[in-house]
Amino acid sequence: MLPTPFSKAEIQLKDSAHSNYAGRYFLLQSLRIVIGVAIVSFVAKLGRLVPPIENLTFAELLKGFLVQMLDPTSRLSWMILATALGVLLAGKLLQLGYSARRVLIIHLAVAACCWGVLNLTEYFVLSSSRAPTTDFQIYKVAENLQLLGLFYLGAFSTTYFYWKRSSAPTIEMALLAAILVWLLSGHQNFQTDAPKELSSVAWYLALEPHLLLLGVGLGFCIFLGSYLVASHERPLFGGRELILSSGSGRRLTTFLTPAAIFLILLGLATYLNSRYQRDLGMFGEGVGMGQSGEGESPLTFSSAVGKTRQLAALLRFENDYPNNPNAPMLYLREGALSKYNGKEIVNGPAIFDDDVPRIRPDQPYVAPEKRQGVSPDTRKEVTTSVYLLSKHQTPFTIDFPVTIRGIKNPDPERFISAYQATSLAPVNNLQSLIGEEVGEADWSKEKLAHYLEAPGSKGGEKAKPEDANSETPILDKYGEDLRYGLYEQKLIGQGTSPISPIVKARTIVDHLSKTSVYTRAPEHKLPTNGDPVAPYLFSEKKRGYCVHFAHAAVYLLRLAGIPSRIGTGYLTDLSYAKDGHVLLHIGDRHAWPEIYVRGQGWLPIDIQPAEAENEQEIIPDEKLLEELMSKIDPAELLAGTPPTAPEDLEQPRLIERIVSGRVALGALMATLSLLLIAKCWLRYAWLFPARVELRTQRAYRSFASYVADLGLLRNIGETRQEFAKRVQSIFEIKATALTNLNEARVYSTRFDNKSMLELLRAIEEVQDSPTNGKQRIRRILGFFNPLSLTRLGRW
Amino acid sequence: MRRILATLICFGTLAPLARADETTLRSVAVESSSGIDEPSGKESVDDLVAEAQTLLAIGNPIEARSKLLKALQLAPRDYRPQMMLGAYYLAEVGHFRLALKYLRTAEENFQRDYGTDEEIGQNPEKWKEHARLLYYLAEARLNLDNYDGALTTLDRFGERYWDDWYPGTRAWILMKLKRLDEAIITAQAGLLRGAELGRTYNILGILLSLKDNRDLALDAFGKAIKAEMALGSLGQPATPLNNAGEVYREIFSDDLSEAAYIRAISLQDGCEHILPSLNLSILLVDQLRLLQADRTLDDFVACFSQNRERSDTEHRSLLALQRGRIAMHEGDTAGAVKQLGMAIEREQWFGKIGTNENDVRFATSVSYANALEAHAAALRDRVAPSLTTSARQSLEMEALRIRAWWYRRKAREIALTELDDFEDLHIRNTDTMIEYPTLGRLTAGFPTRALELRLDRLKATDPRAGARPYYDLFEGVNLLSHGESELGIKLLETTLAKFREIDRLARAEALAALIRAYSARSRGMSSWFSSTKASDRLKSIELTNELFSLLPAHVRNQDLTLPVRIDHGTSTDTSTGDTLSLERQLESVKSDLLQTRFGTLQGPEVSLAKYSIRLSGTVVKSGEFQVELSLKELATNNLVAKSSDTLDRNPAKRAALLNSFITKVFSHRSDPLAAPTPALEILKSGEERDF
Repeated sequence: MLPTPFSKAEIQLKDSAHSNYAGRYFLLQSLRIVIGVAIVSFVAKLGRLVPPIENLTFAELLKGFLVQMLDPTSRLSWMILATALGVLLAGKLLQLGYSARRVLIIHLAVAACCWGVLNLTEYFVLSSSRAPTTDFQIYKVAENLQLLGLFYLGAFSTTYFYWKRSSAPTIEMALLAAILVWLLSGHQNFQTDAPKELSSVAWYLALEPHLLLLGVGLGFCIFLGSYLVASHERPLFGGRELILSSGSGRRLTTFLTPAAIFLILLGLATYLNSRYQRDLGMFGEGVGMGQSGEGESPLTFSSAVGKTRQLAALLRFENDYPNNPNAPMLYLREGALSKYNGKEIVNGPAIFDDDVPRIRPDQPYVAPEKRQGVSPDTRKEVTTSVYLLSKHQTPFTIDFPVTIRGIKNPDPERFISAYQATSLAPVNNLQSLIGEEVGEADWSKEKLAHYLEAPGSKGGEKAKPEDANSETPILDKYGEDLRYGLYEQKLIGQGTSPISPIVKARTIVDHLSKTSVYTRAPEHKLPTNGDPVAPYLFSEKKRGYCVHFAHAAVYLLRLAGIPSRIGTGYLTDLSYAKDGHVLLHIGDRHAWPEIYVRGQGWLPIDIQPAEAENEQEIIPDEKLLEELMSKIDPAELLAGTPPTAPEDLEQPRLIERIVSGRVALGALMATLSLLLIAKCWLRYAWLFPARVELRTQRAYRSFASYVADLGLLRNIGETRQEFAKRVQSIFEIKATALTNLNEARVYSTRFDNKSMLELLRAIEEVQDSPTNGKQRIRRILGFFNPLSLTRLGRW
Repeated sequence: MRRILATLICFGTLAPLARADETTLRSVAVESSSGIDEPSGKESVDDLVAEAQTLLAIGNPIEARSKLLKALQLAPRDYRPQMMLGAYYLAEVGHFRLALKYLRTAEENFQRDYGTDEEIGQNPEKWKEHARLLYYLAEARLNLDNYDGALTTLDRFGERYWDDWYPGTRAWILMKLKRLDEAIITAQAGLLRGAELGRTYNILGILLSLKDNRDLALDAFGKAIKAEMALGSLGQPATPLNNAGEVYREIFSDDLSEAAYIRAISLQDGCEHILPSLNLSILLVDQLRLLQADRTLDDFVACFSQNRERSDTEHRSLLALQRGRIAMHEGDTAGAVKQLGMAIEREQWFGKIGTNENDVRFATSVSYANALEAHAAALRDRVAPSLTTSARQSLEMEALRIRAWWYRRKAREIALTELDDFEDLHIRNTDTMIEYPTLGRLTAGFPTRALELRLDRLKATDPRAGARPYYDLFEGVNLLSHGESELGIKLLETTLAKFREIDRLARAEALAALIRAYSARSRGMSSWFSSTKASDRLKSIELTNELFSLLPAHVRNQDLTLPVRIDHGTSTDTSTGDTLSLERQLESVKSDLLQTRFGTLQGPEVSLAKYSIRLSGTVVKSGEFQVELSLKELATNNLVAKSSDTLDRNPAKRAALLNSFITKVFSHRSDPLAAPTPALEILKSGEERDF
């Protein structure tokens, strides 16, 4: 007799009540196992407890996981098994009425046994061991057992409390929600591709990361709601309440509340989606990807994303660029901003920055034939192919492009589009151009003035030198800040001896490099319509990111008489290149100052902050790069598939073959078909036997299966006659005669007297019972539900 | 020894490939001028292949690749572009899978056009091409760790052809297949037949050292060095020199090892690869010459960056690993966590440059765990200006400890599953990147019986006297961590005396373990019934003083307390009447100090005081005090560290002053003096020995 705090009557009542919830119990336990599997898989991946899965598609990722789950030699399958065991055992022990103390004693005893056995085994193994390979064998087993034990304990304890305490699911879900929020918190500040796992999945699914992020959030909320609703009405073991249930009035609430929450969440998700779409310009260090027209700017002074790993494109060099003056860095220009609008630098009219192709990536481009500042001595022809991995509104390439043409997209599932650009790339380092002039001699006054516009450059007013340290703006009659001029004078000086413009430019940029602090969150306090650059430049600690650096540098350069502008696009590190292929990330988006050197054209002169508050470097995934390289390998089709030999390729394991060879799908289909056949047999097998006894048995089974499909099951302790009455009262199915016949078959020794005619009448009675439309739909749906077969024992 | 072997891939095995490229590729172009499936057009396949060969020779590999791809487009069934592309990806890019793909297609095309191996072998025009193709195929398979496939390919080569690289490569593959005797015979036979001297002697040296014939191995490396030096600018003597340094290190001839590494670094090819610099840095860290170790890495970076054409991607992970360790021993635990975290982030490059992937993973995990633990200890003594900061610090500490536990567990798992059942426990197993003196913290997690058994086996088979104290150190630390304090203390005390003077990090590690054991014993329940409580306490004070003078950061990293005498300085200005407040301020600073990393001495302990903290202050103005903290060595009156600041009622300022003082006290200040390095015997021309 099992110890239990309940009386016999209570137990019977509980049994009866619980049996009504057998389906719910089964469903919830299954759900818990599924959740357990998901958590175990996630923890295993996060903690690198399972070997990494090399993949390029989401299907491959899933396949890899499935293989590991099914492979009995893999650790993941054991961890899943331990978790499932924890869930099932907790439920079973509670069903058997084991008290908490007894459960604890059992577990402690098992743990002690394990410990003892391990120690004894270790003692004997080590005493008799002669081979060094056995020294740590027991330790290895113990470590693995410890891990499995942890998963088992987690699953057992949570399940135990789930079936004991009404508040358990709420606590569980709160914890899960907290963990999810913590995991996803990396995406704040518009870093929509963080955490890395999320961006990887987005990449596999070829989705925008923010959509996935919203999807995950929404999915989790729906799951959370459903789980709580499903858990709301469940049998509780050992507690005061027999069934945690709600009345019909509350049923409405339990349905309406999640529905309302879902609608609210959907609305929130839609709003957030539109906000992310709108703020796409904030992605990538504040260097947006939107195509901005004249007077507009893709740059923003707040919410810099920083170094996100979201893939932007694959760049492939078609020829060498050995004289890259910025090596190992490479500037890939997308646009140029040159117009000062009184607040910031924005896109200028097309007549000025005529080296910038203002086209879409799928449009062809040929540069005007006559181009200032370009000669074969100062530039080298470099051809690059760009395979876009995320949406871009303008093409980017090495400055400056001569031609851009679309090329065939080698894998439309992976790449958005592809183009090839031939550029005349700079080869001279600024250091070697010290004596050169800036601007072209034949530039019009208007053009020169355009590239020299900066705060305080219009009025010609001068501020007092003592105002240089002023914390508030010193405005001229145009409302522009004169402190920039003072700053420039302080840096360059007003000496009589002429200084080369390149030296001036270097002085300014070096000064900003030395004094700037890179941060993704500058947290500048800005008044409405205030100058966004001043809080960076005129503070003791110059905190900001490339947008601030580039603006400040261009203002100071212009005030020093050097034509300059802001280049936007990508900055990448070629030391990560492989075979001339570079993986570009959204986090590589950048804005930089450029100056115009006579005879050379526009050249980048970038700020390299001496201090960084945030990590700046993105480490590209070399395996991914290699995979993508093989996708665009032009020889892929030409070379044909090389012969496969076992020496070079690892033979797939049986499980892999099963999973990859669609055997699993076939097996699933076959199982379902078998179950369906079994169901057909169950339902129609009564038609065949000639013997009345067998036919009666099969006919009753057919009836029981039929009502089970309608959702009705015989309770524990309920006689078949009682069940038949209940069926009749609910569905108006007259099964009393058939039930009596079946009872007679089971209990009566004189069943042979019953005639076939009697049986057929009884069957007819059942068949003639009225059915409404709802019942018919339930019956059809139930027929295809293979799970109803599992209830066979209860018929 | 895997690292030396793998080094050879970088330095040696591919070197003839790189050297041969020019001639080979030229021969491919010239000998195949007849062409197959020659297309019509402006440029023929021959032209394109010839152009590609020229472009490769003048250092324009990407343009060469573009030409070859164009040639491939014109004649997809011609083996030449495929073969050259294979060679390009093998030698220039290191994309071995792609290289193998091209080479196998080239082989298929070759066999289709010219028949079987026998037929090609008799073809006077094509056999050279075929030999070269087999060589490339073997190299590609070798680099993809398909040793059986590589050996089969080499067998096909060996049946028909011979070249001076063949014995070396074959011996190398045999060694990878653990057929050492066969590999030695192959190398020896190759030397008799005129194999490439430098490479073959180098491989022979590695093989001999694997067979524990270290004297003969050093002789072989000596010959390899001379042979490589004789090649002038084409030679790569740094490789065998580095390998010789590793063998010297294995036999605990640290001075000779240092000399070999320094010589390797000073050679023309010394900074082409990080290994000599890294090995030297590891050696110096073992001796606690931390500043020199750091400078060695700086020198490497400076030297390497002069060669702008080479990517340093692969080196960065190893650099970060070693810099992290140095930072940890210097007392910069945050820097150590950052650097080692960076090393772990660059895991994808582990094993790419002559190191074994799992070796580096293991070594990085161990060091990262140590750094996380050290950082948690450093956070414990950080004075928090507010309650929230204190709570945050406590949470962070716990998170760091959990992570440290996790990484140590992972490391043990790697050691047992990926590293041949922890073969790296063999001290100074030179193919590893392990910091051996601190490895005891990892082995402490193993069951004592199992570890003892393994260590006993190692002690029985390892004849090196220098290795013994290390094994004892691991055993002692393990005993202590399993509660066997009597045995552990006894073993560690005897071990401590056995370490050489230069084994400073190992001594520091043993000292730290002993201090913890004595402190625990003096505080534990057993001390209630024992008379050793006082003597244990005195012993721990003595040892802490010794540890602090040896490696200050270790006291903090190991979460120990430095015993000090605290002296109050006089307040120099009493005119403002704020002296009482100043006294209070100083008292509060003193109380904070004693709650952090310092402990006071009482009774008979006072005589053991080696360091004193002096607190002094002046009243600047009402409510503002200039406070100065200084740590001095009592015997010499030398100033160890000093910090001063103006304090007011703001607790953040007091916290900043105390934290800066603690950081200064437990930072590395200067390296111990180093003995001059001796001359390398193996470089002297001596008697010839037979192998």
